[in-house]
Amino acid sequence: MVERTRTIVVRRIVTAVGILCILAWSLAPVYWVVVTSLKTSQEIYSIPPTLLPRAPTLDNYRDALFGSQFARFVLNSFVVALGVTAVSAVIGALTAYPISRMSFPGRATSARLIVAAYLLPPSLLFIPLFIVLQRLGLIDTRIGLVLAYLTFTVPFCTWMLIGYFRTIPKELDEAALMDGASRLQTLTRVVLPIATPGIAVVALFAFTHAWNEFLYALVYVYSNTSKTFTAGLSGLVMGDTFIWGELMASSVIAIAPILIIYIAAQKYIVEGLAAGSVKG
Amino acid sequence: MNARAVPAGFSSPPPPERPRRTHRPDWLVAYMFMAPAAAIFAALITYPLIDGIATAFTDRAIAQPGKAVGFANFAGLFADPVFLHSAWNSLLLTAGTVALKLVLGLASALVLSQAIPMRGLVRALAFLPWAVPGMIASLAWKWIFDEQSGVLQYLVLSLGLVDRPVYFLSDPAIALFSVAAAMVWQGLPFFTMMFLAALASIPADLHEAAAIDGAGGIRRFLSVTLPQMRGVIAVTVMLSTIWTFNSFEMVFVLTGGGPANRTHILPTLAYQYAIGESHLGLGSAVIVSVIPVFVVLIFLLTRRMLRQDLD
Repeated sequence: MVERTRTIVVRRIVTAVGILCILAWSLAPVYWVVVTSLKTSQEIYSIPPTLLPRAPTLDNYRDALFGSQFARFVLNSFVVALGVTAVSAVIGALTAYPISRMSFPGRATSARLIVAAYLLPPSLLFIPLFIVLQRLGLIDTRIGLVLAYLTFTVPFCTWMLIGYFRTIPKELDEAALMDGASRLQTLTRVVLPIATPGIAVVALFAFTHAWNEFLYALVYVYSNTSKTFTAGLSGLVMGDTFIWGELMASSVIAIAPILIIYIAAQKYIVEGLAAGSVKG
Repeated sequence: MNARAVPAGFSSPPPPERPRRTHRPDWLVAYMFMAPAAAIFAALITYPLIDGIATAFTDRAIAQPGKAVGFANFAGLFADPVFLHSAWNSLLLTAGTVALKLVLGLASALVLSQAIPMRGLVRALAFLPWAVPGMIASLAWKWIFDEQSGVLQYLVLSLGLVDRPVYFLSDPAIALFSVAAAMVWQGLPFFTMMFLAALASIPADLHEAAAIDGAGGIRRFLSVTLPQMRGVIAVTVMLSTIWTFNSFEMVFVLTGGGPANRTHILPTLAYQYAIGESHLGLGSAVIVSVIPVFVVLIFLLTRRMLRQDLD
């Protein structure tokens, strides 16, 4: 018995220390971004650095929002991400339905191609996609960027939705079909209402992906009217002087929407991740 | 549709012919549903991929179509120390960070699966780096690593760990480690999440049986937990290998490939050749040279991810 209690105590201590390490490691950089964004530029460069802002100020936020193009970039990100989300949720649902619930020649191949497309890294596509968008005259437009993001989000949404749709009994479809409903009606009136949570998670992922993406944004959009915030921020970094206060304030502004979504839907996201990558 | 209004067994006259719509055959409906996705697949994925491979055999530039040059781009690359060095950097960075994420991810998952107070909140906070956009994560670390005013410089100097400033990002021997740290920070939560889900799905009676047989904690981990997680570990490692090899913004923002092109990885080098210097052909060749690796990885992973999924 003595042995056992000692094991339990050791285990608890290890767990506590482990949790402290994990939290310190994941939170410290985020903390540092937020704290820096609230400091005056004088304090930002003072040595030793201060752990808490001595005179907290929102000046950096004012500069970021009103003294630069950043607000415009955020708006562009929002428009692009919303477009990507809507298109890929619709196309994803349309594609996932037959693959998960109908039998037709080529079904297994389609599923395989979708997973392969989802796994295809953007760095393999960014040069030839540049040539395609150039030919279509869509370089430096938000529509061009939406098209580029669809190459990732459509396979991704389809793959996730196949998983969700499979959890819905096929008998429901069969009943609806017997009653004379078309396949499209079955999808919109029977399957989609049940799969709403799944669709929501998939939409969140698509939005997040488009919001966070950098490589395509860097290569395909460059003017202020179409640049997204990731490309906009990199423009600021590539200069020789970094205005860290303003950069960090911009970062906080850009993280905020994602964090709100993420915290609100954390449970579903974790479940969705597990469901999307490993089926079982 | 009218047939539905007549309760079954009510009608004495012979039931009217069921006015079922003549449905289109299933395969046709299926293809119609999949048409938009197929169009995207053909026009924005397959065609560009083929075009990209073809471009790698030309001297195409952004402003001019170029002409075929055979294997000249590849011959040039394999004689180019910058390309070889970048390939080496890519390999080191991918292998190193994936290994680190695997070990740390297992450890964090084991810790976070214990009964701890406020578990939901603790997990959410631990996963935070995953939700931070890569661009912002890169900026945050660039500021932390800043060689004049960065907090890390101050810490290592004032704790007496070093006696002169460390060039976290401008010393090529150190810069890759700095990049690796930032990449581990960002990529670790994905491993932790996957492993937590896998841990939760191990049947409790396996552990109980092993405990009754007298197996201790470490023994149980090695002979129950790890074998049960093998599938998830394989998928996670392969997914992360693809993503890490291709992660662009960390290197792009933290070092920009410099100093003197010493910290490039293949994606940033391809960007520099294709877009920065406008040599689309040469940039494509950089990418094409690694496609075989990805074909194999994607093939293996696709099979694994679909194994249980297609009847």
